[in-house]
Amino acid sequence: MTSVLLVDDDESNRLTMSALLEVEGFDVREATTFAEACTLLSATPSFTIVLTDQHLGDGLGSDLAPMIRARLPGAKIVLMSGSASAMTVTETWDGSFAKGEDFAELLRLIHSLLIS
Amino acid sequence: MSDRARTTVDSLRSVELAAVAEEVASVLRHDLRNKLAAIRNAAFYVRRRLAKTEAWTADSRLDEMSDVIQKEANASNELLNQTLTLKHLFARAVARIDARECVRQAIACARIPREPALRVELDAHAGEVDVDPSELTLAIRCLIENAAEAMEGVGVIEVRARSSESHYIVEVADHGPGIAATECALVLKPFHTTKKGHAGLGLNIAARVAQRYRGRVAVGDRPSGASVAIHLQLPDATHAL
Repeated sequence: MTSVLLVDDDESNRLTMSALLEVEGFDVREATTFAEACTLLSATPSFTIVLTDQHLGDGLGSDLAPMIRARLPGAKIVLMSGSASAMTVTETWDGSFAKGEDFAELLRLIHSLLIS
Repeated sequence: MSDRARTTVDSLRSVELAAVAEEVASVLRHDLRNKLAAIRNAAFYVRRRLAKTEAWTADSRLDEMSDVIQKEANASNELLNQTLTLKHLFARAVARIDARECVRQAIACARIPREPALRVELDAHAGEVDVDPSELTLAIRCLIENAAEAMEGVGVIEVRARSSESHYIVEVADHGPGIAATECALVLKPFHTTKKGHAGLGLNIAARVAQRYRGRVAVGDRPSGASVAIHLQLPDATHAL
């Protein structure tokens, strides 16, 4: 089962996204803050995909990238944001997803990253 | 006040109005997108789990109502995606300029207490950047006013500006109470403030202006004796590709 770390400080988004991913067969762990994500990444270095919101209450999702790359070199990082301006794909992460787009789009992105 | 000075003040005021409006609109768009995303995902989940159940097929309105939620959430998202133009408030005029002039202008027009209570020490070198000078002036002014507020209008603000490798960096340092390590990530968050009576938009406006011109604003290394230094960094135009 593909393991996903979902990082989002918005409770409703986390709840719905997590439920949809689980229905699709993913094993989802949730982090509600930047600090919690760091703790999980330190303790459980086995995630295949990290889906992170960009604007977390205590930090930026994109700032998790160095730690993810160091601990999980093969993991794919998808940055999610409600701000369209923040959604430029860079070398720092592997894909981006604008919140509010179809969940099916996110699934397509995840599957394409898993194949690549 | 001369006609020229009045024109400059009017221009800066319109830039400030546009910046505040842009910031507020941006925060609203971001927060509403988050809410809509949760609504869409929840509706998608409910439909997916119930679509083939007896209850769903027995009442055709369940399907219709589910469609309404999806359709209206989509339409709301489209509305948010439409670019909010602020041309009626401010039209940008980007040019290659000496950033040092913006630093001087920002100090001159900053809304801060003046000597003897508050003194601004300036050490600025020339450097070319491609920006709208009114916007850069506003961004630097926001940093200076933020520093003055941190020191409650008393003390010395140090402003240094120089070219460094491929960037032009404006550093505004204050001798206020400082920023706790846990606060560093929050100071650029819109409406975040520890000061009563302040909106908490100044640093965010500065950061947005910097980002528009491929730069950034961040808490930087402090000069000796200072408690906080905020750096505004822009690409040096003479190093542009």
